[in-house]
Amino acid sequence: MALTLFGLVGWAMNRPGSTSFYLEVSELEGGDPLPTSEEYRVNGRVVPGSVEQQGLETSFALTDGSANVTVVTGEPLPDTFRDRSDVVARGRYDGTTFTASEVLAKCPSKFKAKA
Amino acid sequence: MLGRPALLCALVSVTGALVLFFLGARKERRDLTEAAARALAVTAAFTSLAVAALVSALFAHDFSLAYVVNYSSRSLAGPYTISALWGGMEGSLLFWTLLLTLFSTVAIRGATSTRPVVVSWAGCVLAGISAFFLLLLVVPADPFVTMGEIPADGRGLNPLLQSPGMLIHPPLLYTGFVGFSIPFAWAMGALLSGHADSRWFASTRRWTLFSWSALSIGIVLGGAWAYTELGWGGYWAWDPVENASFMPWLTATAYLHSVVIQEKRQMLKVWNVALILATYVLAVFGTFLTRSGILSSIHTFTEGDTGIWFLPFLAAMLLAGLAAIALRLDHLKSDNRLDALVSRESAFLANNVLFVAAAFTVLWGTVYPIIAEVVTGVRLSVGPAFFNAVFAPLGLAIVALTGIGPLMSWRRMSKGALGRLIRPPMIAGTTVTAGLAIGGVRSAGALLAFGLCAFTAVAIGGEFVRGSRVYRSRQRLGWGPALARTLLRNRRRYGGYVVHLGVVLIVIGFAGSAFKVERNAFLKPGESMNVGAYSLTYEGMRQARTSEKQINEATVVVRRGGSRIGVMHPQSNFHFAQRQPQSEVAIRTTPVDDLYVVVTQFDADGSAAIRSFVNPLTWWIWAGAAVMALGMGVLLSGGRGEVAPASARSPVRETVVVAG
Repeated sequence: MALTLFGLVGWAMNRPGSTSFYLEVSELEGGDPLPTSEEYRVNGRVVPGSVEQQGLETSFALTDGSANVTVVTGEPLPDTFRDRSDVVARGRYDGTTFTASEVLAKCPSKFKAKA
Repeated sequence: MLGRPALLCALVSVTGALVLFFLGARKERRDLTEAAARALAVTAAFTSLAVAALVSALFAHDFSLAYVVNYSSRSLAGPYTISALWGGMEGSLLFWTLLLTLFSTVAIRGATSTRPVVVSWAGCVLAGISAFFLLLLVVPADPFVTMGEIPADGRGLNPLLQSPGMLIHPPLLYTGFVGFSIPFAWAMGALLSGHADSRWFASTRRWTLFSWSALSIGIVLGGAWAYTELGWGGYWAWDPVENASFMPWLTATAYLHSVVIQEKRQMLKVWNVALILATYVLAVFGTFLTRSGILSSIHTFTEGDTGIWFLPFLAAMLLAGLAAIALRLDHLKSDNRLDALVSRESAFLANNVLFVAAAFTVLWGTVYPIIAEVVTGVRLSVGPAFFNAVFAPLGLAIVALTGIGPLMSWRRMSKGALGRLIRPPMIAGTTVTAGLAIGGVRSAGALLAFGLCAFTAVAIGGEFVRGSRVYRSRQRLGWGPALARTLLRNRRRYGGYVVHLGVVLIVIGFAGSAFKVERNAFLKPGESMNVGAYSLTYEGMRQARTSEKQINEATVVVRRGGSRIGVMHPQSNFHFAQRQPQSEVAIRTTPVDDLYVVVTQFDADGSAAIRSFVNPLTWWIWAGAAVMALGMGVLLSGGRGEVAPASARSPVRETVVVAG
């Protein structure tokens, strides 16, 4: 019984899309080249003034303080998305642009300014 | 200010209660236990006073308190001011403590039928837990911190939380989480007092059912809130915090079922204690996750050091619980053994295996990122794809078992009898699957799911028919009165079946999501888009302004097969206090499908980005939840008299002893 469950969990964990690497912007840029076929989640803040929208297409710069990356997406953005919001983009990176299939903004239950 | 002194008094009186309960338990002195119960009641009164102080400060816009500044504003609409009580971390912990001290007081007062020494130890556990939460409120999470400079207005409550669902979803979840402290404390009390064999579970049966019902409805309302407010077209995202509420629900559901075996057959005693321990620890683990910022989640509260306080508390609960079980292992031996593989007992066991496997899966997926980071240093995240892949087979197995279980009889069952009972549901399931396949449904998962739902619905229906037949023939009643009598005469059994029927309807709704359609388009006024069988025409944007927000309301005309069937008005508003946009979804619901329209963005020239979904059968989820709630009402309305006292064991047991 336990074996069946572990088998099921193991199989599910290894399906494409089940797990993805969770990176900061600088980890995306620096170090070893990342395989472009893999899906990543990248966490950072929206650079103020970088958001450009044209029809359904949006592009913006994401920063973690030390590095920036351009994110493009055709997906709708959450309400909490704006300049400086803390977002997680899920998608692929080709070395210059991060193409996101989903952009989540962390929604702090509160509006406490971070020190 | 009354708030902080009230909390300090509560901490003092709860410490008194803890000491008195402990002495009362050690010396087996009823007078001490009664004094402790009074001290616990005093604690509840002081905690209520602190809550009253915070709520009145919120309503009075007393911006000298940091909490009031952070979570409310002058423009906040009346009823939502109360949501601010649980909108922030400090307030939510205060609310939690209020429920805990109130529930503990009521449970201890009402515990006349339990052995006094068990109650003393249970009180000891409850006072200990309450002391921990009051300590949190006095040291790291003080809701009564004052501002240096008093601002003119507060920062306001997150507009997402200003919805009717958010008025009831958090209190229901907390009621569920906190309510499980009562059966947990009783289980621990039974173990610590050396009366592990006592029927501790029977005297807390109503608490367990009540907490489980509150948690169930709370989870569904959370999904309904996400669906109607968040605008991504779904209701469940396997977010860590959703998972945190789902895990204790799964183990509690397992416990609700396995405790029946303990009651009927005096089996699975260790297992039941372990399940209630797991349920409680998982419930607290959930609050730890939300307050520690350890996992990235859309629900995380502002990061702080309060989460760290939960780690030793969780570890202590878990270790103490396991130690108590190990200490009394010899008291927890089963009186009976499983007689046959095809029996009601084995169906209950299979249920438990599936629910615990489900809870393990959610736990694994939720904490895997933490483990992976600690072990390999690589940060990962586990997505919905993982959970959906595991839950599809587990969920379908549970649905099938829901149908088969009630057909089995206790102890053993002849193959012939089962074969006769199982025939109508089998025919129904096969017919539905075949009909859908001929009708053009090609998804194997969906065919299986709908077939199993039909199977189980008919199996449950059969139980009601067989029950009613007795009343029809004996008392010459019509079908309606006979059904009502069946339901009301054995509320535990038939109330449970009503809950099961609700689950089946919910699963129909889940299966429908396999046929979800999503379309996005950027439209100028007058342009149209298609989604599923619908055609949407964007007619334009109407703008209006209130003191709270700028309203931008789109007019979308819906056509189907060329004929106009309605107009929808999704909004994309801007809240001034929070400087935050907020979409208001427009949903057109029918039992067949939901048309779900969101304006995600609009330009000055009047064009708008429209996101639309067709969500088949989503209506069934809410309908099923309503049926479940009805069943819970029936279960909870059942009198205590239905619980057989320990002396009146069923004849089944005697036969086993003779046979053994």
